[in-house]
Amino acid sequence: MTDELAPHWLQVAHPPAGEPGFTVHAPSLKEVADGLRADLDRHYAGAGQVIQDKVNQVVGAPVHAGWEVSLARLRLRTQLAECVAGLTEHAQAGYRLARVAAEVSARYGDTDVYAAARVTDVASLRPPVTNGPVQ
Amino acid sequence: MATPLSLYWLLSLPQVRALANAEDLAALQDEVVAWRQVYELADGHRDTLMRYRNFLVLDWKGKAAGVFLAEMDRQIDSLKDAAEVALANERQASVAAYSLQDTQERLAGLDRQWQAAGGDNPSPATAVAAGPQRDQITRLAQQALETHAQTVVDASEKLLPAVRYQVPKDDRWADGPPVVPRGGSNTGPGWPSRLPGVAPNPPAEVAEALAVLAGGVAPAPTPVDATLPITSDPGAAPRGLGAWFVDTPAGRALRYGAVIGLPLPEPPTRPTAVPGQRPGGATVDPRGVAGSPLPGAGFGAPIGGVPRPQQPQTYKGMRVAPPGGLVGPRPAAAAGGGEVHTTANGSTFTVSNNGNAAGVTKWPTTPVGWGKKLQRKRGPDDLWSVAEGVPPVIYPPPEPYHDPGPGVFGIDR
Repeated sequence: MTDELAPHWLQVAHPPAGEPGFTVHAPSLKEVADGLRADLDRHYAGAGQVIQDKVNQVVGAPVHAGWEVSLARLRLRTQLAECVAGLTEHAQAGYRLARVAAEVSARYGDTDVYAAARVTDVASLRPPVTNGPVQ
Repeated sequence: MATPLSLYWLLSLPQVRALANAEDLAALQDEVVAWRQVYELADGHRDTLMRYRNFLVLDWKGKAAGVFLAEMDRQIDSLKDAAEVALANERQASVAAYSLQDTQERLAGLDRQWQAAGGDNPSPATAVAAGPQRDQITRLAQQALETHAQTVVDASEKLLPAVRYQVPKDDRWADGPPVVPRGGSNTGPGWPSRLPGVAPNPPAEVAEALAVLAGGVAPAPTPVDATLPITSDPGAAPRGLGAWFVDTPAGRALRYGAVIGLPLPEPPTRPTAVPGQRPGGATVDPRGVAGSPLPGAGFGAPIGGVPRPQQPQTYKGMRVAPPGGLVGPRPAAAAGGGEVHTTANGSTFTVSNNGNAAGVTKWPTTPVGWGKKLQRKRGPDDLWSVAEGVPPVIYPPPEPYHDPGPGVFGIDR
């Protein structure tokens, strides 16, 4: 399914190069892995860079105002930078998903029976212990 | 708890105008756009992952699939939260941006009136003739800037915390987890952040206004080395707004120990003040009618020889009394031997300490005296209670006697 509903700025940030956009009708886990990685490379990373550039422009700009306004504006910018950092972490987590999917696919792809995959194959996806049990 | 605001009533109209225009509206609007983009990117990525998940859940069963899909669900939920946070924060940034735009427009209108009333450098005759009008314009400008400040502070306090994602650690990747590539390469640690450079010094008018707000000392135009960490020497920090922020590799940050709990260390003083004339050309009416000084009223000591005008203060749109004015401890002079007040109809009454004499009112002697007087315990059942042993003033009338007349229930048989 082509993502035709993406916001305009996202399409501008990474226009599909001769491709009709990313499709999720992947016939196998390998294609899911490749597709997810490609989506992160072409789409997410580029759009994130657009946001980061914008944040870079405003974060360093001085605010000449009363101290409470300066503090409030700094709080706004700090939160924005924090949210962008959160996007980076989500991207890293997405890449991890893609890598694990590719590994599982490489091991069991010939059989095309993904149920044979062991839990240890996807162990790296387990969240840290501090996050509690896997849902 | 409301954040105390800067002393905007100290500013002249040119200073208010310079300060409002110094705030970068375009940068604030860029932040609004960035918030929206964060929302769209997070929401779009969540949608992508959701479609992958729905596809995989049909074809992949078992425990391994459960772990994989659980991680996908965790990311999907986190992205949903991140998108919602970004959307909520975009609203607050929009509120701040709209407030700034509205304030700048209002001040532009006031500035036109100001120019018509003599401008920044009026002639002495114009300054006297248009003094009340210029005072009024200045007060409106101060209130506009103060309202904007309160709006921005309120918006910033309503921000939702960012959603961070704890990426699971994987020892197999010694070079760290996968990173977001830049330009297709896979070498950069996420999106590169530009190190903030040396912040340009504010214009002279803005620096003057900031100096007034910061206590009369202009911010030091010292360039900040972006490569240095946050300094931890608050004692060396010069007073002034510019010294509260330092540029660090992680971005602009508050100087350690210089902002939190920041009171003005000394009563604000104005460096150059001419008696009878306020900064910016506004004059004090020599007749003492408009903006006449009220010695002893308001904040502490007079400022730079120019007494603070007794003007209404506002908080969240409400008029409030200046500190130390109407609400507050009893003035020392009045606490001594009584004080004669004249009412609107010309009669007088005396306020003394003891309050025992007839017709004499006892003044509350604590800052919350009025409140304490109203805190008498009165319930709905004893609204008119009086002390025990006090004879009543009004006696009840005799109980009415009812004569039923003859022929009722056979009484007269």
